[in-house]
Amino acid sequence: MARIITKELAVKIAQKLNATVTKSGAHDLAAVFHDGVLVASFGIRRGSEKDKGHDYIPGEIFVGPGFAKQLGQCPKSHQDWVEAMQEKGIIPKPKKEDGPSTEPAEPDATP
Amino acid sequence: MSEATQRIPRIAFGGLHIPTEPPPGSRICESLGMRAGEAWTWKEEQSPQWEARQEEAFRSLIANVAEFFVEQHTLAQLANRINGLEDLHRSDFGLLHERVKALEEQSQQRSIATCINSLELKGAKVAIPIPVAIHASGDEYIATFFDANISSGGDTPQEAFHNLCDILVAKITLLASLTPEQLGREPARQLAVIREFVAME
Repeated sequence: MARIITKELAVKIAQKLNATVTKSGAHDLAAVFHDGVLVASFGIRRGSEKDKGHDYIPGEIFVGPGFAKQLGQCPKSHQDWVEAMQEKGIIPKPKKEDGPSTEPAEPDATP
Repeated sequence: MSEATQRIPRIAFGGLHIPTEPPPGSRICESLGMRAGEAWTWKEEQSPQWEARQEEAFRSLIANVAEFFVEQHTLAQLANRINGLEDLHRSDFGLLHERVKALEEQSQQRSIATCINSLELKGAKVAIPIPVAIHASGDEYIATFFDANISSGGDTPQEAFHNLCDILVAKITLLASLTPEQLGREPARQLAVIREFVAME
């Protein structure tokens, strides 16, 4: 099986998700926050090899390998990931603001 | 018919018209053990033994031709058999190659089950061994603590295991530093799972 997520892509994913990266031992720990709440975190192996495997990252950011790859490359955006997390219930969906109803009023059934 | 062919004297033998002299440049005489130009002269054709020698030569020719065809047939049969065997070997080798490849992949995909018994984290002690599964991913290995969905990779199973220990320490430190309100659904669950295995002060 070929490597799907390389170190280079892992770094790009962390950047795309605006992750806070802290150094820890042999890893950098990328912590992804949304509205001040930690949603996901994953380790990025240190080392100069750009093609080091990081195929475990998709599972840690709750997406499939294809989505993660697209996130690191370009087609998927941070917003796409947030929406995917909201669909999965990992990030709470934003509450709809109360406002004037746009739905037409039901006609009165009684004459 | 060319002029040269017309000049070659011909005799009738059993209803066949056979040239009494081989065409120039042919090797028929040599194959029959005769010297060209000497054995088949018009004079000898006129000799008393001419008919007997002609018949003998013809029989020899027929025998040589028959032998030639038998040899050719045998060679063709042998060639067919060799081709068949080559095809068989090729397909057998193909099957063997596929089976070896499948076995190699199977052996690579075999997971290793182990556990973490200690962590290099001050104020934390492993209360229950943390279960870890290590599996191959291409030419690398991924170690995972499935309950908490925490993974790490390495070039060898040992490296993947040690990297997982390392990332686990980093995650515990991060998760423990945040307030419950700052933890999302999954990180909160991860911390709860970790607390079941690791006793923290």
